[in-house]
Amino acid sequence: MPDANQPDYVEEPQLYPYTVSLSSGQHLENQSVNIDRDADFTLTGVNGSSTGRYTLNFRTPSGRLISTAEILDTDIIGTANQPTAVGPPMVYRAGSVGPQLNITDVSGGTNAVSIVFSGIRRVKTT
Amino acid sequence: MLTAAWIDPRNVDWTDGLNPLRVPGWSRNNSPYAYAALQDPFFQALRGAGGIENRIYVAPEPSAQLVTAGATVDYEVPSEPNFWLWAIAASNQDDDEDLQDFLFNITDSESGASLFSQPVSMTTMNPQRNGTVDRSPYVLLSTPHLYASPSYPVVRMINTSEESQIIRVTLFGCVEYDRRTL
Repeated sequence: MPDANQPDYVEEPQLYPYTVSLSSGQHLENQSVNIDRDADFTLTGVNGSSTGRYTLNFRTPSGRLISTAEILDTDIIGTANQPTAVGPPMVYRAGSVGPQLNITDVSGGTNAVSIVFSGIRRVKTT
Repeated sequence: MLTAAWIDPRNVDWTDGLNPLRVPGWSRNNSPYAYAALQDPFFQALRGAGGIENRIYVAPEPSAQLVTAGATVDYEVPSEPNFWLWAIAASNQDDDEDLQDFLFNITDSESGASLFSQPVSMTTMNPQRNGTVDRSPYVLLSTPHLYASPSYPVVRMINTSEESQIIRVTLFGCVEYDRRTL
């Protein structure tokens, strides 16, 4: 029997892309992946593409960096049909800066990077 | 496998990224190993637990550290207490796959338990080089390993190449937290 005081939710697929063109050796910090204000976002996978190698790190919902050092893209970035699960579900609150990124080019050239954070948005209906 | 019962999609927890029922590469047919590993009781407990947070540790640090030819590096991972290790990835700087390699092993600092009975080559454990990267860039352990406080992982890396190279072992895991602190 559902609790009458519990809010109802609708779950919908949601993907937050992050795209950047890095110059050789360029390092960017705290790149926001803004979460929509109308729904929390449960991150279930990461995939992407690039024209060269890069390293990245991103923040958990509590604001901590998930890794002690930047991770090589080939060690964490999955493919379109199978985004990499980074662990038990992480819920980013609506309106937050999301999985804020630190990213560094290690290709030695211009690098067009696209990263997709895929997951589920939970829309409150009542 | 053809006799496996149909599973109603409405019964699948799609919010769980580690649910083998939602990931094509981890299905019972595509990877019986991953399918079984993710249903290990400890894995299931982690997947459904509250009060835990994901952590990734890269060894050595910084991740672009050059290791000289023939050198052995023992990296003591600065993990937080009660770290659950559930997957590993190993790689080097090679894009052209000219088969530069290195050996590595991961040991529990307290119990001495090693993940591998002897150091294993990166090529063996790297899905990029095994042609199975579509299933995930890391290797799932058959059951998570708990580094109970004060234990931590020690990663030994041996550069068996004749050249200096950047080598990395990435540990995927999570730590236990009081739910109220998250």
